[in-house]
Order: sequence, then C-alpha cells, then structure tokens
Amino acid sequence: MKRMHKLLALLLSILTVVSLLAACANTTQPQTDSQTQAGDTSSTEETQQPADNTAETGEPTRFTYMRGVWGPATFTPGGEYEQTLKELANVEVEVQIVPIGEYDAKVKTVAASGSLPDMMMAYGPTDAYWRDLENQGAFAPLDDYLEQYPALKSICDDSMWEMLRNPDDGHIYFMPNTCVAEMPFFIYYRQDWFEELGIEEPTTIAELEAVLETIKEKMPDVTPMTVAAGATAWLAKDLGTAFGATVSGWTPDENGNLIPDHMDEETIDFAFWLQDMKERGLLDEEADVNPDLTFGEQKFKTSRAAVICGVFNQFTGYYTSLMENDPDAKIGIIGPLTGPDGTQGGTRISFPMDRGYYFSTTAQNLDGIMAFLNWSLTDGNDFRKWGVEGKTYTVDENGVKHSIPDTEREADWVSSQIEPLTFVHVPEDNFSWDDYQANFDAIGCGDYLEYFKEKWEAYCEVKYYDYRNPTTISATNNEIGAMLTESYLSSYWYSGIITNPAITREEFDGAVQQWLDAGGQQIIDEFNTAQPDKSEPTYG
Amino acid sequence: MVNKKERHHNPMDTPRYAQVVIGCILAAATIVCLYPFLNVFAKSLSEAHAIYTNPTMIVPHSFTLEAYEYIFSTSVLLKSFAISVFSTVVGTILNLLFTIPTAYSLSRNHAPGSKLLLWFVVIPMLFGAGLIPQYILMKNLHLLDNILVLILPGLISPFNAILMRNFFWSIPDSLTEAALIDGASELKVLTNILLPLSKPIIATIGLFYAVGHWNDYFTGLYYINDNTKWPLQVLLKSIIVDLNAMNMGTQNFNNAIDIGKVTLQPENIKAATIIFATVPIVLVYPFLQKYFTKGIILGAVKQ
Repeated sequence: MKRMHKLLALLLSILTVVSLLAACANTTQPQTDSQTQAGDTSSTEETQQPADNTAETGEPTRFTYMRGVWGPATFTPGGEYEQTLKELANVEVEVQIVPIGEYDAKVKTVAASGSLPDMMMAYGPTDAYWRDLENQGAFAPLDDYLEQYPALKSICDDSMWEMLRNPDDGHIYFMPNTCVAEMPFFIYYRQDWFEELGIEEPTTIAELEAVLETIKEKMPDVTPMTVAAGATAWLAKDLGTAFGATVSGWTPDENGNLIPDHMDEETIDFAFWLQDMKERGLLDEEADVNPDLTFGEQKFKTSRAAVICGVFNQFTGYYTSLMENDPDAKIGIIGPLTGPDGTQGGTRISFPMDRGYYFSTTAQNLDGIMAFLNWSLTDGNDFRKWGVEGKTYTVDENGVKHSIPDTEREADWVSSQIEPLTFVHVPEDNFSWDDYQANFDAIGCGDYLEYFKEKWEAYCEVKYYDYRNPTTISATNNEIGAMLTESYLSSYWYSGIITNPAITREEFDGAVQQWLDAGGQQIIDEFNTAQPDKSEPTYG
Repeated sequence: MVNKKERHHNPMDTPRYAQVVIGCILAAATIVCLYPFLNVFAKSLSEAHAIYTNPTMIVPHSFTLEAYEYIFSTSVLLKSFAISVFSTVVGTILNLLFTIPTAYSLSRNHAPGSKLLLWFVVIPMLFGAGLIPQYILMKNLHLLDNILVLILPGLISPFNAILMRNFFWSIPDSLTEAALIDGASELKVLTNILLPLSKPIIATIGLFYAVGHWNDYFTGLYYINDNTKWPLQVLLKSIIVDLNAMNMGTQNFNNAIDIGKVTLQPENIKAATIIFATVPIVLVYPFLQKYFTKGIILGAVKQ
C-alpha cells in the first residue's frame, strides 16, 4: 500500500513537472480571429472571407466596438434603442463599455494583448502609444473612405485632418471626436447676494478680490469663491487669462520658442495668486484637497458659496438645483476680467478634439462600418442626434424639439442605454444656440439666454491658445517625461503651490531648473524642432 | 507567569474614576465608528437637496426611497449582485479547498523538496509579471469575459497559505505522529486531526478570501468586457464615481442623451450604493468575529 502511495506521488510529481514545462514552452502568439470578437481567442487558420455585401444579401453589418462611457455603466444589451438602431441601419454592434476613468488603462491593455475590437475609442496620435501602434500597422488607413464619404470627412476641417496624418507613411488612421474649442469657464455668482450687499459686479482682478473680502466679512458662513468639478487651476483657466496665463498650454517665449506653462511667467504668477487667495480665505479651502470633485458645485447649489468658477454649459444644472434649494436666488456671470497689469482676460481655447476612433486592420467588414457611420451622419442624422419622438424627445406646437428628461423616460431609452451606441458626430452638434434656447425654456429661464450669450461672446472675444500641436512627439518626453514631472514638478504644479502656502517662488523656480537639467530642456528642444510652425493655431 | 490573583482580576476593583474615563473613551470611539455609518444610511433615505443642506445628518431628511429605486431600476445591478455573491461563496469554498492542502504540504518539513516548494510559493507573492502578461494569460486560458476569471486565477493566495502553514506548525507533532503510527494516511491526518483543530484559522482565511472576492474591482474591470457580467464593485463604482464624471463629459453628449436633465444628484445614490455593497459583509462579520481576532495572531505562533 505504501509503495502504491509512493508510486502515485511520483506520477503526480512527474505530471506537475511536465505540465510546467509544457506551459513554459508555449510561445504561440495570440491571433486575432476572423470573428473579430475582442477577448475571444478562438484562432482560425482560414483566410478571412470578404465581408457580406449588405446591399445584396441584407445581412446586417456586424462589428465590435469598444468605448468609454461618462455616465453610469449600466448598459443592457438588446434594449429598444439598440433594436431600433438595428432596424434603421441594418447593423449589429457588440459594444464593450468601460468607465471613462479606467478606459485608457483598459484599452491599452487590450491593445497590447493583440485583441483589437473592430472600432475603438482612443486618444489618437496625440499620445505616442497610439502613434506607435499606427506605425506597427494595427489600424486601417481611412484616406480612401474619407474621399468616398464626404460626410465623414466633414467631421473636422482639413487642417485637423492634416494634423492627424501619420508623418511616416502619410496615412490618416484616426477619426477624431470633435468638441467645442471655445469653452469659456464662466465665473458664476449669486447676483441676489451682491444686490443685497450693494456689491457691483467686478471688472478687474483687484475688484474681484475686494468683492470676495466683502463677502467673507459680511457672510462668514459662505465660501467666497469655489470651483466646479475638477482641478482648480483648470476650472479657473479663464480667470487666469486676466494674468495672461495659458493654463496647461505651451506659449512662445521672447525668442519665439514654445515653452510649457510651468515656465511661463504669467501662468506662474496666476498659480501663486491662487495660493494667495486660498491663504486669505477667499478661495475654497477644499480646492485641490477634497477628492470628491462635486464639493464646489454642492456648495454653490445649496447657497454655501457666492462665486464659482464653472463650465459654461453647466448653467442649467446650477439653476435647477438652486431653484429647488433657494427659489429667490439669482445667478449672474462675471465677465472676463482685466488683470493687475491691464491684460484683458478672455477664454483659454481647448484643442477641439476629445479622443476619437481607430479601426482595426482585422475588422472583417470595414466597408460596412464606414457605410454605417456615413448613414449616421446623413440619412440617420436625426435618429443619431435626437433619438425617437415620444421616447427621447417631444415636438412642441412650433415644431421645436425638446429632450425628455432622463427621469421621465422609459428604462430602454435613458441616457445610459444610448451613450454606448453613440459614434462620430459633426462639429455643428457640439454647440447650438437653438438647443440652448430649448433647454433654457424647458427649465423656465428662457429670457436668460440673451444675457448668457452676451457673456459667452465677451469671453470668446480674446482667445488664449495652446501653441503646441498636440500630435508632435518628443522621444525624450515619451521615455522619461512622466518620470521627470513626477520627480521634480508634481509636488508643486499646480496643486502643490495652491494648497501649500509655504512654497515660494524661489523654491518653485529651483524645481523647474532641476527639471530642465534632468531632461526638460531636451524635451522643449525636441518639441520645438518637431514643430517648425509656431504660429497661433486657427481652430476655435 | 500569571498568578492566580491577576488571572481572576475583578473589573469592579478598578477605581471608579478609571471606569468613567474608560467608559467615556469607549463611548467616543463608538460614536466615531457608528456615526459615518448612520450618516451614510440617513443620506441614502433622504432627498438630494436635503443632503446638501444637512450634510451631517443621522436621521433622514425629506424621506425618500428614490435612491434605492434608481439603483434597482436596472436589472444589471441585480445581476452583478448575484455574480458577486456567486464569486464570493463559490470562490471562498474553492479557495479553502485548495489552500488547506497547500498549507498542509508546506507544513510537512520532512517531505523532500519542501523548501524548494516554499520558494515557488513565495516568489510569485513578491513579484508579479504585470497587467499585460496577465491579460494575455487570461486570454490564452479562455477566461476573458468568463465569470470564472473572478475565481480561478486567485485560487490559492500564497500569503494565506503561509499563514495557514504557520498555524499547522503550532499543532503538536505528537498528534499527527500518533495518527501516522496508527496507519492513518496524510489525507486522514489532515481531515480528521488537523482540520477540526483549525477552525479559527479556516474562519479567518475564509473571511480574508470572502472580503477579497466581495471587494474585487480590477479583476472584473480588466478581464470582463461584457458589462452585464461585471461584479458588483465595478458597477457600483461606475454609479458612484461616474455620475460625477458625467458633468465632465457633457461635450460628448447629444440631445438624445440629454445629460443636462439627469436631475438625480449623486449624493443619495452614492450613499444607497454604499449601503447596498456593505450590508452583506456587515451581516456576516459578527458571526466570524471571534474566529477572526483569534486567528489573526494564531498564524504567527511558532513552535
């Protein structure tokens, strides 16, 4: 019996060792299969068959699609919106959603494993990782499709297409998700409180400081100024333009070379001004401290903050919530301010692209995908933009469409069921005053739009650009840029300076010098070499 | 050595002032521990605007069940709850099933190659290959988009195995030797001798595994692409945190999505989802607490 046990033990050991060797010896590379199911590793030795011609056979176009979602990831496949899309467009989309906060890490992991979905959202060639994948042939070139489908080409202008063109082989691989370049971050304030306290709307930085001091003195339970969801410096970017600051952007120095914001004197002045404001109790003590990014908006909506630096398109949210909590509240918008040295503020223009889409070379039916995307911008434009009448929108007696609030929609038609099935759009979708009028009317402040529009135009009158082309690459930045930032700047810029009053200008200048010496200067030189044209951008 | 007098110390002998001080400290600690839970529970049953005006509440203001209605309005959430329960229950059972024999074999010092085997266990505990190799491995094992990925890759935790091994060492060798002399096999020694004596450590390790499964977030996020197969934590994080992210992504939305009119604020939903996620663990823990406190130090006892 003992001998039997020993024999069994020996056999088990041999089996373990053999399994170990077999597993270690398996060097077969994963193959993307002809079904193009992301994550599906069933490989096939058959050559890929040509895609079904949907016009002839009526077979739907099937493809896999991976994208991030900004809303709750509660999408349930097979819902009515998806079925309607299938009926109208003859398309079956297998969508994989990832919360946007984790999307970049997840999509890079998926891409590195070799399993690319047919269509995927990505940062595009502004990120060296994706540029590298373009050079490795992971994505299908789009040049021919852009010529074939003018609607697809119209999603951005020619200058942007040229920016996205791969400099090595001259092809365009990336379809951008355009967004509004002019996005003023308004300085909203409680107009009723200002009237009560006899405060005039400020027009300069000095006047703003005086106003905040008055509020601090007369209303001790109220935070004088706070910021909406996000990093303080970015939310106050348009306030910063009064200092000549271009937050998170590159600007020309006196010699015409582009330098990053942490070397720009005006932007540094602005950062230390924010530090001073916080130290004096005029800027929310939770700014750049509270990990819950809604703290500022909550305060403003519940009448615990007098001024908020917020995104312009958040007005309806602020108005609706404020009316619930304080029906007598009035919201004003402080216009662009004049800085301490007379600089006229305006708006910091954003690069008009927020991610976009790549198409895998292994996509079985790229023709069908492109035809579908073209349909969504032409015959299917109304469905894409508005959905279905009665389900996602209503039409009033004047023929104006109004979106149905999410809380009043059926489960299959709420935003979380639609967002995963959105694709490309045209720039006109990004911004429409008619839409704003409809939204303002719906919440009962339609008369407010003229005032709102006036402020928007005032902010957009003076534009501050990021001069660096985001598609330019610096090899040194790719290799050690993040490490340099982490080692020398991250404890200062911007949050460190704003939240720590002990940090001095000299100390920060020393950190910048260390960054330069460690490789930062090389990064600057490489970016400048890669971008000979340093003129002001023309978008926005 | 503890003498008889010290062993039978009567708490009533403690001076009164000391009892008052101890009582006050314990009361303060209780409040500090209980308050956040009561606050979150109250918020989960309050309307959003009431939360903003009374953020420190311990009783609901403007009572409403809208947050729980929102949570349960989607079948995906209930399904993810079931997946989490499945991975926790089945996963914990399988974890223990594999960890116990592993720990036993590591505890048998006389077995040839035992020291080498220990290195095979310790080295992966210290060094990992990284996310991408792991993703490729899961893909090759056909575990992507498979809920078994929540269980199989982490079947044996080296740390827990070593903890259990140390506990087995604390059991006198004479017990196992006596059984072996009487003709018992190693398996019989494990099941009939060691396991009955190992309830504290099994409960402790089981609790570790169960909590780990319940709170698992990254496994579901990275290895499961189909969001209807996500475990609870991935979905909850999406509901709690990404409701905030909606405000940042508004430029990506069209009228069909109409994000500006999602009026439900995240605060009460956050609170409701926190309650939903923590209640199962809170309900189970009291039954295992006595084993947990005992077991946490038992693994450190050496012969």
